[in-house]
Amino acid sequence: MTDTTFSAPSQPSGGETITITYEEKPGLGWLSIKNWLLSILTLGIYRFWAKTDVRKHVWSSVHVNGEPLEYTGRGIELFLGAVVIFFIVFLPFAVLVNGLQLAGYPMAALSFQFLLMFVFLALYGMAVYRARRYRLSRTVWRGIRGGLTGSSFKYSMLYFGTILLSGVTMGWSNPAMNLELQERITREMKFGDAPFEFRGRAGPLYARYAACWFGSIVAYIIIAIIGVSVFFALGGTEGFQEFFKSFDKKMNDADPTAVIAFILTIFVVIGVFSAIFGVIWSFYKAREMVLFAQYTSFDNAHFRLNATGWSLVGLWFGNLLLVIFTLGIAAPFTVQRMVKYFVDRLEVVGWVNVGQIMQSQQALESRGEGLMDAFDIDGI
Amino acid sequence: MASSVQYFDGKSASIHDVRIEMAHDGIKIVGSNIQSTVWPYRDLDAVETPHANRPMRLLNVKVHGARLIIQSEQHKNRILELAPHLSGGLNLKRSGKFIAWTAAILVGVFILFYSILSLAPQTIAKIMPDTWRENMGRQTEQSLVKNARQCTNPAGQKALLKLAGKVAAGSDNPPDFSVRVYNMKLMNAFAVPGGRMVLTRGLLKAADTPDEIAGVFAHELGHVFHRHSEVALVRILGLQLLIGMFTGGGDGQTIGEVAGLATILSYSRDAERQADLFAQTTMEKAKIDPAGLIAFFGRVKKLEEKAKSKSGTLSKVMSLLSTHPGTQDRIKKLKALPKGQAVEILTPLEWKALKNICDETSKPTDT
Repeated sequence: MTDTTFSAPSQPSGGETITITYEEKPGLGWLSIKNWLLSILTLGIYRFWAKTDVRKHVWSSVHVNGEPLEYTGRGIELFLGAVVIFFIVFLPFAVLVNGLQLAGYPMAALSFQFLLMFVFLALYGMAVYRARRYRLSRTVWRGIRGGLTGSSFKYSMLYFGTILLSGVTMGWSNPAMNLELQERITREMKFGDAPFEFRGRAGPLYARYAACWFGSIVAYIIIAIIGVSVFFALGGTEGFQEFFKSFDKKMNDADPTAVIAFILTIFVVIGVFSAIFGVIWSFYKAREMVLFAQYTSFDNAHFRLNATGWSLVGLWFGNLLLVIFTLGIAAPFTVQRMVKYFVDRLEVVGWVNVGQIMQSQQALESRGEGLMDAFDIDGI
Repeated sequence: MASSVQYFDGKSASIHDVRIEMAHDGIKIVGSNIQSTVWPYRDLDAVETPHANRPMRLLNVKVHGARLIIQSEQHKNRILELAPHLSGGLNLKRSGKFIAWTAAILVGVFILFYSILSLAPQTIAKIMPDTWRENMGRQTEQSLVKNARQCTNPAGQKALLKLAGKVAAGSDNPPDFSVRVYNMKLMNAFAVPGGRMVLTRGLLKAADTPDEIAGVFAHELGHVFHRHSEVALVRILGLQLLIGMFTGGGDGQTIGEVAGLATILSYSRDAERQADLFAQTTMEKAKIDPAGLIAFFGRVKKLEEKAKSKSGTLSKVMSLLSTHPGTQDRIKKLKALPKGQAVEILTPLEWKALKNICDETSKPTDT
């Protein structure tokens, strides 16, 4: 070690500080209406092209040091990705399960379905990884594209392990395992030939995790108490039997008001449940996002993300209302809101020697996100 | 003085301030740290449709990643003059490609729908092993009758078999079938896979003559003959596959399911017409008067009207989503036999026994 290591790293002449801004531009409203109409007319097939156009719009609104990002993906790539997955995964399994059912082996069909669930769970991480790789490889800034250079299989095994461990430990392994996942995918992420770095420990996540975990338990108990009080208010066991008898009769007669009331009740109950637990866990999610950003670096730059629990709740709740009250037409605006949330709250500290970054050497795959579409798990 | 043109070479992320010249064959790019190059006009493409007051972003389709960003309105206009295809609008080559793709996808979708909803169900239903049909039939029958008991009065069963035999004799190529009566109030008859037919006590009670039951039976035998319920079950699986494929399990799922229901119902109405046609020809041959079936439909229609006048708008809308064609249409398509041609199907005594078949019941027996 020499003395020079102790002096603060000074910004060399090719180094640039990084500012990221979101500059809204007109056109997203028209795009939303066009996408919605075409998706209906094509029975949903247009969604691949719709998604692509929305990304092009939102990406190009993100400016890094004044130069916008560019999304170079194409609808046909997403379409072909989905078609391939349909034929090699979805179709054979559907035929096999239904064939077993028809042929009179319901037990075999059931156990096979169970096995399939495991296979899908094991493939889920692969879908996440490959979708991220596709998006990065289609994101261009100053003519240089991003990339993800690791193995999607290894990632999906780690993902699978995370899910299994989470079940065994009642969720307490999640912070540590999420960190593992984030570390793996971040270190394999590149802009051009320059890698991202990730360094940090899961310890600081646990205080918040414990708070949210016990908060959920309290919420469960309160819900259970309310449930039991309602049960007794309605006349206990007998009252309920009576209620279900008349309800069963109405269902059998297909009384439309009863059916609609029943469906609405289910929606409301599910809605309330997910709202309660969604709010509680937003606070953990915010903490995780803040720490993960802090642990991430690129060249000589560090990231700071000002995410908070309530702002995440606002983001998700706003998106939900947007989608519900416009019957899904405004879905592209939810993408914009999410990206804008990150960009507005992200700060890059330090500098990057941009001039030294060379083009990515990773080959471009020709199809995208097939598994992701099959699992329907993407927000953006 | 800052140049108004920036250049990225696609190899590194450095910004190069360059000068451009519009040569006759393309844009010539010259700068201090780069090798001069010429981008032919025909190889140019716009990253986004050019706009006044926004920088023009150009790429060269032959040079991966390279970009040219032009601020000056003067340069932009000159380039649009020399490479008019950049301003969007109609591009013959591109719209041709677009139309070809759209057409190819439409044809593909049509073939897919046709094969999954028509061709495959019919073929599979035809070649399906009998053990499969038996299995499906047993499961479907169980789910339809739930815990209702089977009507087993021996004299009634004998009469039922006689009636069934007489109807089946009218078909050149009668399918294998079995028929059971269940002790259910509901007035209905079903044909389920494996040639199984189910009649209800309510149906027998509502009928005035053996001809009416024979007509209903002939209609259900038509379903068995065409294997309609096997086809329908396979079609539902195919439909689920299609919905999953088109909507990706996402937002469109509900719309897809409604559309799917409409499709199933339209196929179902076709099947009813086919079964009616089978009933007509079979009964004519067996010398059974379709007037019985006509009378029966007439009674169904009255019941429908009664139900309609009682209920609100919603159930009127629901009746549009019917599995069966309009009863009036069905009555019109059936023709009664000329007077004196019809034979007696059951003796009055046998008819009475059939009506009373539910005097004795047992747990359903599987044959």
